[in-house]
Amino acid sequence: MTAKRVLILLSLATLVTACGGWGADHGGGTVIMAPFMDEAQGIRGNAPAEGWAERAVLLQQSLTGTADDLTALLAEQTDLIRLPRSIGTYEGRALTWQRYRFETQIPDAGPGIYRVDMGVAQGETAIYLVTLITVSMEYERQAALYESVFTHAMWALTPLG
Amino acid sequence: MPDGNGKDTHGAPRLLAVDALRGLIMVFMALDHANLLVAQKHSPGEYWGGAFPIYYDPLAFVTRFLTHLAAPGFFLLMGAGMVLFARSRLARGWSRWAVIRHFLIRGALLIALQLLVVDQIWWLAPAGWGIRIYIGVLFSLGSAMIVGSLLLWLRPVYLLGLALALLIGTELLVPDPSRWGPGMSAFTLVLATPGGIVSGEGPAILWSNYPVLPWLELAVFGLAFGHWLAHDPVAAVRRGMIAGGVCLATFLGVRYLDGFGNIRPRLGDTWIDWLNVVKYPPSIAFTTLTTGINLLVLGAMAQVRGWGQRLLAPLAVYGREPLLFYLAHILLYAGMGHLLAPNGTSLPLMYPFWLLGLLILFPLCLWYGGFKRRQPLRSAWRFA
Repeated sequence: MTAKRVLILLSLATLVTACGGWGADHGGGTVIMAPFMDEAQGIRGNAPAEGWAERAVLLQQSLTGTADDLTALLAEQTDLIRLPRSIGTYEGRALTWQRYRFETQIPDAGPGIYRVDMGVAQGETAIYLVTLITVSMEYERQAALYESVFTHAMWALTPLG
Repeated sequence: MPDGNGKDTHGAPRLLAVDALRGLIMVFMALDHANLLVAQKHSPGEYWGGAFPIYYDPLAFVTRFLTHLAAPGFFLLMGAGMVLFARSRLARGWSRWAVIRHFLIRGALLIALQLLVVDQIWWLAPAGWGIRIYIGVLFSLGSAMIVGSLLLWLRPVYLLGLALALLIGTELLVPDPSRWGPGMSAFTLVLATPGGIVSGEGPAILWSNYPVLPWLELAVFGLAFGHWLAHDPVAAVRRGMIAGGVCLATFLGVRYLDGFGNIRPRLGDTWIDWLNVVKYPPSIAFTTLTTGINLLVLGAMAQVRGWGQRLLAPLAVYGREPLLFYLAHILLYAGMGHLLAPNGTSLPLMYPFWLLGLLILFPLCLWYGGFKRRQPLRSAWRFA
């Protein structure tokens, strides 16, 4: 009797789950992060190693200088005149990040609108940046992946020494 | 906790909750392997060094997380089962040496099965396989059984001390993550540290996911738990639940402090990051989290009466035939992968395949259980 019941239950479960799951295009839900250390930049952290999209760039950098220097750099590389209003803060393991999000053209990268997620943290002697650059439409398709990689990178980035 | 449902033909009472928990973790293990063999979405393992998987999709994480309960549960329940088996056989007139010899043979058989059979079966994986000698869970279970057979008559307090020493000691043996890569000896890989010996091209010569020492701690703890169960099952379950609570509290403390006990630091601060722990080798965070859950689930199962027991009974059908299930499920899901999903599936679509596999395995386990219990006590059929 018990065997019969379990067979019926499992059959029903199989049917229901099959109906619910059929056709769903669901990725693996995983990206592999590998630790790195960049002595030239004076940072260590985690960067995506596998499961990462081709049409996205994640930069992790340090910049000696002030917020004005950062704005000048952005103005040089994008069509931004200044950083937009921060959309929030994020507490990483070692640094407190200000988060920014904007869309821009990047002349060096070719035509199109790029979406930029940027985290900026003020260290004792430098400014630290985590920048995720994607094609805007691509971001919408894989928002969970990009959001996760971006926040995990901010979490782990730590000044050396 | 003892029930009347599980008597074999020789009159030995079985503990339904123990069999049901074993069945539950086997079902979770099958989910992991369906993910590998059917969906082809299995992430690389959570190792002490190298790259580490992060999960941005809760379904992907939960699918992996549930399966974390399997391996530690197997070691725990194997230890407990060894004591219950030993006491049962001693009561039937076996000598201590006969019991030890039984476990030595059974442990050696598990090791041989891993190396001669299971290592070959993995080559059927639709996405490919690249390991000549794989130190998998059967190897480590067999080794733990051999060592455990010599510890069977130690008092629980000594067993607990040994388990604690292994838990902390093996964590101290883990190299710095920067040492990840080639260079470790086969001896180290088999005994202490996961990793591999990889040739330039072609399959790895050796890969170890389950080195013996780090997993032995759970079998030793299982031996102590087995003594409690044999002495007073009700009190044992109560102690188990307390131990489970202590384990989970330890996990939270270790994870919060984010230092010793984690092997490598958290990769973030989401709920997934808190639960996404180093499994290879089992970190203190991994061991306390999974063992805590397993003990609490066991306690909950032991409280179940009436219709609840009838719900647990199907799990116990799987749980009483772990070796047959283990061998059959890999073949089954590999076959499904080749025939029905050679290019893999989405994660949600893998679930019906998983359930279908369980459906097929159920009557097989039910039949084999009946067949096995009709065999004499010393029959080799009872090893499976």
